[in-house]
Order: sequence, then C-alpha cells, then structure tokens
Amino acid sequence: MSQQPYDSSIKAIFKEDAPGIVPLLLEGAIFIDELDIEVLRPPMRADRAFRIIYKGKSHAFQLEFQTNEDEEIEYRVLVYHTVLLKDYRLPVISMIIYLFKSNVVESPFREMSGDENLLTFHYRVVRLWTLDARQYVQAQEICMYTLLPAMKNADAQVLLQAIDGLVERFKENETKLAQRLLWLSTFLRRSDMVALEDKQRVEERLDTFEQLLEQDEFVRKQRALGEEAGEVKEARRILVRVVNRRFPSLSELVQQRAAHTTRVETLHEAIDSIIDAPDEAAARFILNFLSAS
Amino acid sequence: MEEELDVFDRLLIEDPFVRKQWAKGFAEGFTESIKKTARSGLVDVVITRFPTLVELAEQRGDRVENIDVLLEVIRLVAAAPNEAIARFILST
Repeated sequence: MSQQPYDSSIKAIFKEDAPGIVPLLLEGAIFIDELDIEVLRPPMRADRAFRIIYKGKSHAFQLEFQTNEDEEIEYRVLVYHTVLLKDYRLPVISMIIYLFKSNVVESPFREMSGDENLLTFHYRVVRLWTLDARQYVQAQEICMYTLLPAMKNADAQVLLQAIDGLVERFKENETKLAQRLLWLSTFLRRSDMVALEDKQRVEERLDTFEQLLEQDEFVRKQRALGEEAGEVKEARRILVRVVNRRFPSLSELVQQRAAHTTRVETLHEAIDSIIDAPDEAAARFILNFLSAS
Repeated sequence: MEEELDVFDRLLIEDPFVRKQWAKGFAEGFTESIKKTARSGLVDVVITRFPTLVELAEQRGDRVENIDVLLEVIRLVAAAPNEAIARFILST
C-alpha cells in the first residue's frame, strides 16, 4: 500500500475537540488555541501542541502519541519541548500518550556527565489502558469516545452506548460521524482491552455504518490510491506484453523500466509509442526515456 | 521530500477496513484498466479491418461492462468475413 501521507481525520478531531480533551488529559488546564507545529520539519515534528492556561499561567502543552515501545521517544519529545520553548517562550508541558499496552518510559529523563546532572527533563505519561472508559461515557465526554476501546472497562455495553452517543451528537453531520466511527473502529480492532465477544458485538453494530465509513475522506483517498495502483499494475503488464510481442530482445529492459514507472499515463503513452515504434532502436529509446521521465 | 507518517496515519493505513477499501480500489482500477485496453483494442481492430465502423466500435466498447463480452466482440470482429457481419456484431 502507498505510504503517501494524508492529513488523517483524527487531526481534525483533535483540533475540534481540543478544548474538551486538553483539560481531561491535564487536570486544571484551560485550552486557548492550537500552536503551529509546522516550525518543526518532519520527521522532527511533534504530534500536537496547544496554548493553554495552567495554574493561572500561559503554557504550551505538547502531546506525543505512541503505539508501542520506542527508545527514542524521550529524545524526540525533548527536542520538540526545546523548540516550542524557544519559539513561544512559554513553559512547556510535554505529555506522551501511549495508545496501547507496551513498556513505557518514566519521567524524568536525566542527562548525566558522570555524577553531574546536566539536564533533568520532566514530562507526563498517560497510559490509555489505565483510563476508565466507563467514566468518560457516564460523564458523556464525547470528545474521548474514539479512544474508548483502548481503555479499561471498555465492554460492549459501554462502547455501544458510546456509538449511540456519537450518532446522536453528530446526526446532522455525517462527515464528522464517519470520522469518529472510523477511529473508534480502528482503535477497537487494534486494542486488546476489549474481550473478543464484546468486540464482535460492537463490530456488528459498526458494520451497519460501513457505507458511511466508506465515505470518509481518508478511506476514499486510500481507495483511490488502490485504484491507481491497480491501473498501474495492468498498464505495466500490457507494456511488457506489447514489447515482448514486438521486440523480444528488449524483454529484460522493459521489465526493469516498467517496474520503475509509477504513473499510469506515462505507461499508457509508452504502450502507444511502442505499438507505433518503427524499429527496435526507437523502442529502446522509448524505454530508456521512460526511466528518465 | 517524503514526509514521515504520523502515528495516526499509520494506524489507519494498517487498519483492516482501510486495507480492504484499498484492495477494492485496486481491483476496480485493475479491471477498469483491462476494459480500457480492450476497448482500445476493439477500435484498433476495426480501424485496420473496417475503418468505416470506428464510431460504432467506440459506442459498442463504451456500452460493454463485462470484460469477457468485450474480448468476445474483439474476437468476432477480427474474424468477421465482411463489413456487414462486423456491423451486425457491433450493433448487437
């Protein structure tokens, strides 16, 4: 599958729901606005950063999400922390959120030179699986519903109630409902916090939204990417076949060139040109041109 | 410059539902490409054998959704003994 990045829909969710989510993650914090993380060039880019009021003072709040153990995470978060501090001149609260059970890092991070402590970096760690799904549903914290399957006490009853809550909340906005249900179902499939039987019950309910989920922007883009890949595969096959029929001596060359051509239009142009090529030299030129284009 | 996928992009791309949608797209793209090629092949055959029937061939090609039917039409037109038979095949 293509690794081309898209703005995943959860970014939109976090942006929209940040005023609700931030105080739930950092008790007492008041969301002000989202900070620009584009100042950090990829791959050194924080997941999310916000301006908040915390303990009566302006702060930057940096969130980093982890799906599994990563020995580099503290170093990365430290870099983001430092850049945010430099750019915004605000105290930065850094938080690592582990989405699924794994070994986690423990704050603080210390940089030592022998016995001398050069730097101590304090950060927060949230383990989603230690949060109680039931509490969020009881409190109707809809902004957290997509994450519920990764939490403890996420049984069928809680998750079905959450789905109903999402449907009710977003009944007049199918795009947002699709985004949230897609994320809830993604977390559900990935999580091991939900018993298999409960998972099946919830998946059955989610199956009724399949058509809606297919309309999600990310899903449609992936489907379009798949379609393009299918067209490319067939076009490559035809190019190879045409060359093998007309100029068998170029068989190896066309295999190589076709494999490196990813644009379907280019492949179609090459097919037409090879069909019309007057001789082998012209065909070879076309194939070599193909690799250069 | 290729951007690194963030944790959420990766979660979605690896999700079985999203992968299934990608695979559906792949199958559609592959089949559509075969159809396009077959339609173009039908027109190529007609241009060579019965140039006056090109427009009819294009219309016939656009109408056919089933790739096996399309390939059969190509085979029949290629073997048609005269223009009248070819016209009949393309009009059916």
